[in-house]
Amino acid sequence: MNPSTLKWTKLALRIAFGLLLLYAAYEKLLYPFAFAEAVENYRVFGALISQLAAVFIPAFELVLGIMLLAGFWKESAALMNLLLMAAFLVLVAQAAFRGLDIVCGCFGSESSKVGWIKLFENVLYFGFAGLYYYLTARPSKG
Amino acid sequence: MTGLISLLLGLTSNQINPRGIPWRLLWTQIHSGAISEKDWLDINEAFMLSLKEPVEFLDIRSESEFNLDHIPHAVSMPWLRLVRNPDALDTLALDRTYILYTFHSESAPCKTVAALMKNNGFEQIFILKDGFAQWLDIGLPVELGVDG
Repeated sequence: MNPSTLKWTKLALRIAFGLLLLYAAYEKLLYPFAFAEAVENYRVFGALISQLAAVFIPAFELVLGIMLLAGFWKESAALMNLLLMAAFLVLVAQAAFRGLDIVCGCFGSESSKVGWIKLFENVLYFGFAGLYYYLTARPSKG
Repeated sequence: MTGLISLLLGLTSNQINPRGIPWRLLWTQIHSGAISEKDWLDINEAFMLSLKEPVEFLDIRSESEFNLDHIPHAVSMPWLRLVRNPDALDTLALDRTYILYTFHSESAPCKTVAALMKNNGFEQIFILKDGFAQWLDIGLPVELGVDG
C-alpha cells in the first residue's frame, strides 16, 4: 500500500469507528437500564454485572470515540477498539449459536435482532478494527 | 487510564441522569445478593399465595401506565422514581408480602426494586413472571386508572 493510500485508509477507519462509537454510546447513556436489560438478555451475566456494564460501556464508547476522532493515543485507541469489537463479537456469536431471540442492544432503540446477519455485521466490525490496529501499530518504514 | 476516566464518567453521568443507574443502587445490590429463581412467581403461584396470606401487588411501571389500568388494588410505585428515592418505601409495611410487576416483568426493573426492598428489610418480595401482559392475556380482572 502506498503511503498516501495508507494514510487515507487509516483516517477513514479512525473517523468511521469514532462516529460509530459515539452513535452507539448516545442512547445507552440516556437509557442505561434499557441497555442493562439488553446485556442481561445475552444470559451470560447477572443483573448486577449487566448494570455495571451499562454504567461503564457507554462511557467507554464515548471516551474511545472522542479519542479516535481527535486522534489521541492512536495505537492504544486502536487496540482498545479492537478488544471492544472482539468482546461484542463473542457476545453476539454465542447468542446467535444458542438461538437466543433477543435484540443486540448495540445502538439503543435502533438495535436489530441477534442472528446470522448481526453476526456477519460484527465480524465486519471486528475485521475492520483489526485492519485499523494493524495499520496503526505496524512500524512505519524509513 | 481510559478505563478509569470511563468509569468515573459513567458513574457521574448515571448519577446526574434522572433515568440513570445511581451508584447507591449498585452498592445496594452488591450487599443484598442476587434475586433467585424462587423469587419469581407465575400467575397460578401468585394466586395460590394470595389464598394463603394477604399479598399486595406493587405496580412498578410509570405512573402514566398505572393510570390507564392495573391489577385490582395494586399500589403504584414507579421504579425509576424509587431507585432515585428509596425513602418512598417507608409508606409500605415491612411485614407484608409484595408481588412486583411491570408490563412484561422486565428483569432489570423488577430485580432492581426487589434487591432494593430486600436491602431495606422487606423479606417477602416476589416478582410476577410475565407481568401484567399475561394477566391481560388470561383475561383476569383489571382496575381502570384515572386515565383509563
